[in-house]
Amino acid sequence: MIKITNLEKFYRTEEVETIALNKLTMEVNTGEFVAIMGPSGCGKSTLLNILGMLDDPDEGSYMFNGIEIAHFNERKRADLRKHNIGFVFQSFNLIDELTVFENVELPLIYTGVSSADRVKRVEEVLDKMQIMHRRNHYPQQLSGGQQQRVAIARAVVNKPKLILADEPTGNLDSSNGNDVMELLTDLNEQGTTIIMVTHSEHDARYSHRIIRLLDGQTVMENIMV
Amino acid sequence: MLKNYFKIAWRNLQKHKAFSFINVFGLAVGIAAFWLITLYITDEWSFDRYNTNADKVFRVVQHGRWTGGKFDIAVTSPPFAPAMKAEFPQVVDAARVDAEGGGQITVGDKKISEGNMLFADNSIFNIFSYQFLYGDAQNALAKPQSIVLTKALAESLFGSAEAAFNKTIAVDNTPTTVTAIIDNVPVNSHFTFKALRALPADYTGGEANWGNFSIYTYLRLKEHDDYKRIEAASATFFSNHLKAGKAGLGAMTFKLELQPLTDIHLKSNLSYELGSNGNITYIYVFSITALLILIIAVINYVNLTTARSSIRIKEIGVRKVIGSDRSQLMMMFFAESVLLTFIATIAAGVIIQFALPYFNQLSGKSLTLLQFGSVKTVLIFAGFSLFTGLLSGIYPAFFLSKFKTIAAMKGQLGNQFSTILFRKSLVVFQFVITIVMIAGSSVIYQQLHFVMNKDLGFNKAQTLTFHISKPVRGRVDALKQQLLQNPNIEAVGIAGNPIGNNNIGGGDFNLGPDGRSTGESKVVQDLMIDADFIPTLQIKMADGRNFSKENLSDVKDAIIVNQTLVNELGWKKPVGRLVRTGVGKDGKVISQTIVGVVKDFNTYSLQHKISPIVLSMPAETNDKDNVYVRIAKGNTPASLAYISKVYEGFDNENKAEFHFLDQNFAAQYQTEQRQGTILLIFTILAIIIACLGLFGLVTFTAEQRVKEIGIRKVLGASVASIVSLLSTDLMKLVVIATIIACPIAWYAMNVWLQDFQYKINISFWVFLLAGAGAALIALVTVGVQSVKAALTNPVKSLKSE
Repeated sequence: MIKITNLEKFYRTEEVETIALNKLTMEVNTGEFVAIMGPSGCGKSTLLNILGMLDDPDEGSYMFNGIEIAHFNERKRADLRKHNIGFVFQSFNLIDELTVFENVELPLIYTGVSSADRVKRVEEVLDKMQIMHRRNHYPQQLSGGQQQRVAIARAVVNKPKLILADEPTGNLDSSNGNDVMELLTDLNEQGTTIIMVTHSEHDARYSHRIIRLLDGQTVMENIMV
Repeated sequence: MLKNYFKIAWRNLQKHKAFSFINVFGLAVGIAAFWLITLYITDEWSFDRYNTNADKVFRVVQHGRWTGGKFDIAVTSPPFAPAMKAEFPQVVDAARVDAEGGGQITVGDKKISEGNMLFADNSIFNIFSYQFLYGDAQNALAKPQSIVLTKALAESLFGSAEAAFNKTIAVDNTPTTVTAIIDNVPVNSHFTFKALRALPADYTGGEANWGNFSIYTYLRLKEHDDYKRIEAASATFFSNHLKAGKAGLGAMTFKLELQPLTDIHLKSNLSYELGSNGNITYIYVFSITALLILIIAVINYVNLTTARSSIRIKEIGVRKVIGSDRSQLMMMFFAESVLLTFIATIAAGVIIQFALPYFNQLSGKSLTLLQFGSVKTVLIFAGFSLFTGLLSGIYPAFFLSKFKTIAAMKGQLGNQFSTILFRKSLVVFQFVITIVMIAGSSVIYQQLHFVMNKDLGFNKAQTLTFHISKPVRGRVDALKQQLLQNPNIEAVGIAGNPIGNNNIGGGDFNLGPDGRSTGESKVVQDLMIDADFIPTLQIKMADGRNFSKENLSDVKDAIIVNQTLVNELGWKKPVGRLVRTGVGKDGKVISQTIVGVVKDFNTYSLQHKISPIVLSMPAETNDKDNVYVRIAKGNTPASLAYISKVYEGFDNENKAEFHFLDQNFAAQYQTEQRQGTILLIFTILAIIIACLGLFGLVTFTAEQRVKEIGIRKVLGASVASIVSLLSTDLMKLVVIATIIACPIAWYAMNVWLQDFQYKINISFWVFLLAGAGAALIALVTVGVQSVKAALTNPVKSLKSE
C-alpha cells in the first residue's frame, strides 16, 4: 500500500538546517499494523505527517496504492487524504463546538455523503464504539477514553483504507488505553491498515511490526510474532 | 453542508457573547444609519420622476454676467413660452406657471384664504402628469376664469371632489368655474399647489413684457438631448428678444439654461426658486458619514475575528486534516459573518423603527420602514446583509483558511507581523474617521455659535416684524401711533421688506456723480424705509442724517447708503452728492441726493456678504407693508398680545404673524444646523462603535498576555507599568490617526465654511482637542481592561499553565 524511498525532509531557519528525515525507505502492506517508535525528535511525527499527506517531502518518492504522490499539490493531497486516511491523535482534537454526533459526521460532510446516509453511518459507527448514548454530548462533557473513542469513530466513519494514529493512548490511563488498542486491533482485523506512532512498548506489542527510527533513519525493524 | 456551517456559526456566536454583541451592535447601528440615509436619498431622488415624460421636461432659467453684476434666476417672462415653442421645432409643448395665484376663495358664505394656487397655461397638463378625477386635460384651463382644484381643496370646500366639479366659486371676487378635479400633487414634486387657475384674459405674452421676469417656463422636448441645441441658441435668443430696446437688458454674457426636470429639486439653487429645494451636498455629506459608520463596524468585525484566530486555529487544523479544503473553510467563515450581519440587520430594522420619528423630524420627511413595500424591503435588507456579511467576512475568511495544516494543529500562528500591522492600520483608519468627525462637529458648532451671536449692526433680539394687509397700509401712521401708546413698545418703523429672509430685491443702479450716467451700473440692494426704521433697529449713522418726517421732499429726493457702497465706489465725501438712481416711468432720469451714510448692517444671513445698499423712502402706500416693532425687554407675551389687539382694530380678517429678526436670521442656518445635528449624532455613534471594537481588541490582547503579565508581576512590575505596557501601543495609533486626520478635517471644514461670507478661523486647537478627545475616550476604554489585567493575581494567571 505504501512505499517510500529515500525520503528526505529538512527544516530550515535562518541559520540552521535540521534534517528530520534522512533518506528513509520503508514499505507498509495492505492489512498491516505497524508501530513506529523512537526518541523525541527522531522524525516520527514528520514521517506520520508525510504519510498522512499533511506535509510534502523535500526529496524522494512516496507511492500510495501505486500512485506517486510526493509532488502532489495541497488540493490533490487533501482529496486523496479525505477518501483514504483516518487520523487519531494523542490529544483527540475534537471540535468543541460540535456534539459527538456532529464531530463524527464531519468527514462525511466533507466527502459529500448525503444526509440520510450520514445519519445511518454515524449511528452505526457510534454503536460500534459504544458511545451511542453520548451522541448529543459535547466533547468537554466526556471522559478522555470516551473522547478518544469518538475520535476513532470519526477516523473510521469514512471507511478509510489507512488509519494513522499518533500516540493514541498518550493522554489516557492504562485501562482506557487498552480499550483503545483493542479497538484498533479489531479495525485492523477487519482489514484496515494501521500505522501508529508510540512511545509505549506495551502498545507497540499490539502491532505486527515495529519500525525504530533514530535521527530520521530506520535503525531496526522487529517483526512481532 | 450550508446548514452545518450556519449551525456552527450560531454556536460560535452564542459561545463568544461579548464578541458577538460588539459586532452585532456595531453592524446594526451602521446598517440602520445606512438604511435611513438610503430612504432619505431615494426620497430626494424620486422628486418629479413620477411624471411620464420626466426625462423630456425642462425648466427654462437664465444666467447673466456683466461687469459689476450678475443674475442666476429661475424665472422668465411671459413671452418666453410662446416664443420658444414657435422658434424651436424641438419644443413639443411649453407652459407658463405664475406663482401669484393665491387669493381668497368664496363659496357661498364660506371664505378661505388659499395661498398655494398657481396660474398656468392649459398646456401644463401635456407636460406634467397630473391625475384627472373629473374633467379633462384638453379643456381644463383653456378658458380664463377656470380653476382646477386638487382633491384636498375640493373636499375642504365642497365636502367631496364630485360635488365640486362644475361649480362656480369666487376667487378674489372673480367668478370662476371648477372645470376639473385632479388628485393631490405628489409631495415629491419640486412645486406643489392646491389649485391651478387659468391665466387671465389680459395676460400678455407681448413684446412689452419681455423684461418682466416673474413667471416660470416649462418645456417638453421631442428628445432629451434637444436641450443642447436650444441652449446653444442662447446668444441669438438674447439679441432677438432681451437686449436693450426690448427688455432693456444691457450688454452681458447671457445664457439660457434648460434644467432637466429631475435635476431641479436636488441641484438647482437659483434666485426665485418656485419651491424649497433639496441640496445635493447635503446628500453627499449624509451618505459619506453613513458609509463611514458602516465601515467602522465592518472593521471591528475584521479586527476582532482575525485577532481571535489563535482560539480558532486548532479547529481549522482539525478540519483540514479530516478533509476540509480551503474553499470549504472559507465558506464556513463566510457563513459566520453572514449570519452575524443577518442578525445585525434584524436589529437594525428595530433601531430604524424607533429612530424614524426623530429622523423624520430632523429631515422634514415622512419616511417609513417599509417605504418600498414589504417584499421589496425584505429583499433589499437580505441582499444588503448578505453583501455586508461577505464584505466583512472576506478578509477573515482568506486569513483564517490560509494557515498550514500542521502548524495549525500545533496552534502555531506563524509570523503575525503583517497581520498585526494590518489590524493596526484599520484601527488607525477608524480613529481618523472619528477624529475628523469630532473636529467637524466642533467646527460646525463654533460657526453656528458665531453666526447666531455676531453683532449684525442692529438690535435683532428685541425687534419683530409683521406684514400688514393692503387696506391697512394707507393708515399706517395711525397704526404706529396706537402701538406706541403702550410703554412696552419702544419704537415702530416701516419698511418694504422684512430683513433676514434673504429676499430683499436688488436693482441695477447707475450711481453716476451729479446725476450723470457713468455708463457703468452697479447692482445694489434696494430697501424702502421710513424715517423711524433706523432708530427702531438702532442702526448707527456713520455720516449725515436720517430721513426726516418733517422734510417732505426726502421722499422724492433723499437716499441713504451704507459704508460698503461708499467704500466700493471710493467716494471721499458721499453726503450731499447727487446721484442718478434710475429712470422713471416717464423716461426721465431720476437723481437723488445722499443725505446720510449708515454703518454696515446685515440684511442677509451670514452666508452672504453685506452688499451695497440704497435706502429710500416709500413713495407709494403699497410699499409700506412691513411693520418693525422694538419691544421692551421682558414682558414679551403682553407686548405681542397688545400688538395683535391693535392690529385687529385695523384688520379683522387677518391675524398679524410675528417674526423676530433673530429668528428670521436663524432660519437661514437651518440647513447648517441640521447638518450639525446629524453629524453630531453620527459622531457619537462612530465613537461608540469604534470604542467597542477597541474594547474587544484590548480585552482579547490582555487575555492573551495573561501569562506575560503574570511573569512581569512576579518579577516586580507595578500596576502602572503594566497598564502603560498595554496602552502605549494604542496611544501611538491614536497619535498617528490625529496626524492623518488633521489635514483631512481642515480641508473638509474649510470647504464647508465656504458657504459663509462671515466665518470663524479654524484654530489649531480644534484638532488637538479632537485628537486628545479621541485619545481620552480610547484610554478610558483600554484602561479599564488594562487595569483589570494588571490587578490579576499572578499566581492565578501562571497556574493555568
